[in-house]
Amino acid sequence: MEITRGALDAAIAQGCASVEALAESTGASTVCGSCKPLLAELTGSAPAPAEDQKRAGLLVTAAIAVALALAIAFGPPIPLADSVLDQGIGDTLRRDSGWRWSTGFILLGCALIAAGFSLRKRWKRAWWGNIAWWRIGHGAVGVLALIALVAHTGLHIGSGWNRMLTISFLAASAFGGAAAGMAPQRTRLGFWLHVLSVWPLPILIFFHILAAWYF
Amino acid sequence: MRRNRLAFVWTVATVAAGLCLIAYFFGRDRRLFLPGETTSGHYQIERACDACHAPFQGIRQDACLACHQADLQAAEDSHGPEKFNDPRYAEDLARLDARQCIACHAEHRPEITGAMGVTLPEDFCRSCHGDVTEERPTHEGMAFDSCGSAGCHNYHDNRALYEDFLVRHGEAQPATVAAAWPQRNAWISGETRDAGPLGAGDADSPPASSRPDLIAAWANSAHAAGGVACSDCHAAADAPWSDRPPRAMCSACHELEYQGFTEGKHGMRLAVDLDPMSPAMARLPMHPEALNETLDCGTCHDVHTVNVREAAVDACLSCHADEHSAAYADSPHARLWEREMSGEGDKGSGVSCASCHLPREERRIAGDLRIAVQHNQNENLRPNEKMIREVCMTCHSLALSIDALADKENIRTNFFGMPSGHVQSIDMALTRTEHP
Repeated sequence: MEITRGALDAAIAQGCASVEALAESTGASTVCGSCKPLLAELTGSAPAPAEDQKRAGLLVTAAIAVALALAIAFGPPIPLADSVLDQGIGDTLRRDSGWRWSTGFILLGCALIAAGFSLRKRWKRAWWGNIAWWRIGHGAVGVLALIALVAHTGLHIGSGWNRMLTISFLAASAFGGAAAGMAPQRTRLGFWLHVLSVWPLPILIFFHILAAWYF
Repeated sequence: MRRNRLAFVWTVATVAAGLCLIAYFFGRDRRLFLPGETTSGHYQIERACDACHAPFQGIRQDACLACHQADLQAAEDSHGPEKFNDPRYAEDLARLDARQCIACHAEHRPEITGAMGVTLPEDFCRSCHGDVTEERPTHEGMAFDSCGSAGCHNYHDNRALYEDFLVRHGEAQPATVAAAWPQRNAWISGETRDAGPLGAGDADSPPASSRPDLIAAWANSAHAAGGVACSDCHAAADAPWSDRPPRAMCSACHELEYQGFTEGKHGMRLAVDLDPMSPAMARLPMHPEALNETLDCGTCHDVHTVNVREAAVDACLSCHADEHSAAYADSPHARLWEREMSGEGDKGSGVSCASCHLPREERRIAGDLRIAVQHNQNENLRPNEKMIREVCMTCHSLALSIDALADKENIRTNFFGMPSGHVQSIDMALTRTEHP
C-alpha cells in the first residue's frame, strides 16, 4: 500500500483531523500501523494511550529478540557435560538425534507462524485482531524461535550451509527487532533489512532439512 | 509497476538459485552441506558421501564395518556386537546402544568429538563399569576418564593389555633385545614367474620408450631379478604399451600390499574412487616442497629401482614434518637403521619408520605362511597400544612398551631416552594374581 504525503495532506485539508479519520479516508495505517505516530503528528492529535502500551509491549519483545540474537551470534557455545553423571536436558537435546529433529521442527513451526504476519499485511481481507497485537505476537513468536534455536544448536553457529542458515536467521531476528524499536521515520530501513535477511531463509531451511533427512 | 517488475525478477532469481542448488545437492561434491568438520579418520573421503550414507536412511552400520570389521575381528573386539546380543546387557543397551558404531562415534560433530573420534563424555566407561572397585579394589580413586587414556585399557583392542597377557609378560624381562625383523617373502601374490633373472639386455621396451637410465635402474632391481620384464608392467596382458601404466598394475602382483595401502590414510581415497591423496590435504605437518605430490605406489617406491629401503625412511621423511618424524634422525632406532644400511648391523636389525608403521606381518596365503608388509599405516596406530604385540615387543619388554606408548613426550622425541612415567597395569595384574 502506497499512500503519498500529498494524498494525506489533501485528506487533512478536506477535514480529516484524526488518525482514525485519515485511516477511513485514505487507508493509511491500516496495514501494519507503524506509521500511526507519524499520522498523529500530521493531524496534531496525541497518540492514544493504548497505542503507547502496545508500543511498549512491542519494544520489550523486540529488545529480547535483539539481545537473544546477539547472544547466540557472539556468545560462547553452551558446554556439554564432561561426565556421564552430569548429563542433563541440555546434553539430551544436543546429542540425541530424535530431540534434535524435534527442536528443529519446533523452530521451523515458529518461523512459519511468524511468517504468517506477512500474510496479515499483504492479504486484504477481514483479519481477526488489532494489527498492533499481531506485531507483538510476531515478535513473541520470533523470540520463541530463538529459544528453540538455542536448544537446537547449543549456541554453535555451525559451519558451511548451517552457518549461513544460522546467520541469516539471526540477522532476520536482529533486524526485525531493531525495526520495531526504530523511530517511525527509520522503520522502512529496518523493515527492508529484515526482509533481505528473511529472503534466503526458505531455501536455506529447505536444504538444511533435506540434507539432514537425505544423509 | 516498477515494484512488480522488481518482485518478479527477485522471485525468478530466487527460484533459479533454488534449482541450481538442487542440481548441486545431487552432484558429485556436496561438501557445502557438511554439517560440521569431518574427523581426521574420515575427512579424506568426505566427498564420497555414499561411502557411509544411504539416501534417506542415515549412516549404514555395514558401511562402518566394510572398512573396520576385519580390524575389529583381528583385535578380538572387547565390546563387539556378539557380546551385547546377550539379553543380560539389555539394560545397558537401553542407556547406550553399543552395537551401533555411531552411538559412540558420531561424525561431523567437532564440538563433541574427543580422542579416537569418540563423541561421548570422556568417562563413558562409567556408564556400565561404575562399580568396578567392588571387584577390583586396586582401581579405587582412579578417574574414569583415564581408563583408556593412561595406557591401561582400550574399548575395542586389548590384545596387549588383558590381564593374563600382562601377567604372562610381566615377570622380569630384559627391557630391550636386538631387533630381528622377519624377512619378507610374499611380494608375489598373483602369477608365479618362472623366468629367470633378467639383465639390461633383456629389456623389451619399444625404442621410442627406452631410456638407458630407467633400463639400468630396472636391471639392478628386484623386478629384474625376479624375471619381471618391462612389458609385464607397461604392456600387461597384451595391452598396448603404456609409458605410465595404471597403479592397479602394481596390485596385479602386490595385491596384499595394495589392499593395505587403500585401507590406510595414504590410499583410502582410491578405495572410494576419489583422486589420490596429496600431502597438501594432510592435517599433519608436511614439508612445503612435498605438498603437491600425489600418493600412489610410485611415490614411495621408485617404480624402476623398487628400492624398499628408500621407501622405509627417506620416502616418509620427504613428506612428514611433524616433531616425531623430525626427531627420528637422532633416535636410537635411527642409529640401528643406519648400522644395518651401512652393513655394520645384521639384516633385519635396523628400525625404520616402516618397521613400526608399515610392519611385516605373517599372513597365510593359499596355505603358505608368508611375511608381507602391512601397507595400512593406520592399522596399528589408533590407539597406539595396537602396535605393542606385533612391533614393540619384537625388541622390548611389555612393561617398557606400555610405558613408552603412554608417554606423549617420549613419542614426540621419537623414543629418545626412557619413558618418564610408569603405567601400573602389570604391577596390579601381578598383585591380583598373587593375592586374588
